[in-house]
Amino acid sequence: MIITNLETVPGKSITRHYGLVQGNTIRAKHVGRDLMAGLKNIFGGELKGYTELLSESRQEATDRMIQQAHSLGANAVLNVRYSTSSITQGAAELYAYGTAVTVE
Amino acid sequence: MGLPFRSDMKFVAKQIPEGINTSPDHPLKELLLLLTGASLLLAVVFIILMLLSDLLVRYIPEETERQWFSAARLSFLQQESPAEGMIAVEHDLARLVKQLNPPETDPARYSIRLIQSDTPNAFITPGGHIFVTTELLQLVNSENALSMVIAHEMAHQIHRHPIRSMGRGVVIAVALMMFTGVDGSEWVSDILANSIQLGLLAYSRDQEREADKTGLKLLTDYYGHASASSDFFAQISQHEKFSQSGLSEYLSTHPNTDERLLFLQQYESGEPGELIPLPDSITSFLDATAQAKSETATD
Amino acid sequence: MYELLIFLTLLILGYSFGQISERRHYRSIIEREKQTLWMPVMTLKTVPPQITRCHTQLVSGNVVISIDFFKKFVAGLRSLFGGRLQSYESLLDRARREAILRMKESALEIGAKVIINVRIETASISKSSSRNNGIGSVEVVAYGTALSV
Repeated sequence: MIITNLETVPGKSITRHYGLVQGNTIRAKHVGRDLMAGLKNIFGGELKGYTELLSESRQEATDRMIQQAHSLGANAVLNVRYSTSSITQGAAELYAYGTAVTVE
Repeated sequence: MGLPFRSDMKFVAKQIPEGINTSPDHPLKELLLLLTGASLLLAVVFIILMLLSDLLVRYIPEETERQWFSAARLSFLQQESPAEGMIAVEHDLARLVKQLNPPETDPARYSIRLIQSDTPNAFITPGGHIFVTTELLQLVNSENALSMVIAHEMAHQIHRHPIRSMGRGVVIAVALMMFTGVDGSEWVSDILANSIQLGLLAYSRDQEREADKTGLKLLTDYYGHASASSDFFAQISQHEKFSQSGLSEYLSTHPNTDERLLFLQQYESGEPGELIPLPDSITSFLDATAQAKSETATD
Repeated sequence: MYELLIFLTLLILGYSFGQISERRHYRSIIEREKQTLWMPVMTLKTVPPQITRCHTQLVSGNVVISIDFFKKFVAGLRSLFGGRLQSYESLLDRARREAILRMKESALEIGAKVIINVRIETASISKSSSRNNGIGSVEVVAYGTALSV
């Protein structure tokens, strides 16, 4: 499965397209992580726990998008975009969407 | 640059199957799982905090506690012009404390005060300050009965209950702040706070039972018998019959009065001991208040 | 005590009505998706080769959906432990699909054949308006360029 935020796959051309595919996940961090982050807020620096959480979630959103593309019989998702929003306090929503196509 | 599409590119209209972006689990199942988890977590946190605060209190010597909560520091302990006869009553109350105090411990760990109030009550604050209300004096018929009330409060101090409760209060307040800061939904923290409250109440009922037991021991050590120890509760029970509903036992800081009555009456079941009448200072104080009341009534 | 009763009532009401409205919404979404399935929606910017001379117009669809009390409570509990907030997943899924459907429907009205360069934005609105921090409603807007021959 080719995932790209380009409009095309270089050297290949699109033969079929299937429309929009999307993947989302919404994750909450737990109390312990939040406490550590609170401490970190005093000293500054990277919040490793959050970085991990968000990248994990983004991966899951991507995987779900790929799953949708698979179910349509596509072999590439083009022009993929990510968006992150905080729906509720202490939780983040990761969303990925793109266009499912078959390239040859 | 060539076209990204083949000229005969076509659109395939296909329905995407459901359930990729949602989870199939039943919401009630999740609720059940989370509730169990949350109550377990809560219980663990609660127990740890309790042990922690008790541990902390153990390292605070009573000497230090008395310094922190000395009468000179706590403004509410300073009394403005006590009513006539109250000082004499306080003297006698202090004598009762001294009597009940076992000889090997320092009686200076307690101070006792009489306060004007219309509700029969006695309580103790950190630092060993015992308070008895004037209305309580109306409900006791003998020195033994009054001594039981005082011994109960003294027992609280022997077990360091006041400062332990306070320690718990502080720790729990801090812990709750932690939770509320994190939580998205305030309802959750409301429920947490309520269940902690219930836990605290159960704890304070245990304390009361413990204090009843130790208080009884102080009483029998001095008087040689436990007669009249239940008098005060018998009176209170009469009062309560009119004002309480069934649910209150669970929500009350004190064990059910009738339950305590039964507990104390077990100890009284032997041969009735000799009862000592109330000290003169108290009887005359009561007479004086009764007279004052009847005068205002006729006015 | 009263607080607990009110809470339980809200929970039960939230659960029953929430489930009913969610099921109804999904039914309507699936039905309408079938009807508009023929219309391609793409994030690509390039005009498909079949369309040579066309009229372009920006189309959009938006929706604000609120979560029910039951799900909000479950999500609150969940945030003690962390992990996937399952109760919000269906909310967002419904909101996105509804917004895309509305965009498609407004494209249909102007006789469009395809929508290209679609973007989807999500925002949580009505924060701090009520005692529960006002979480629980999201706005999704989908917009793109409709091409009509």
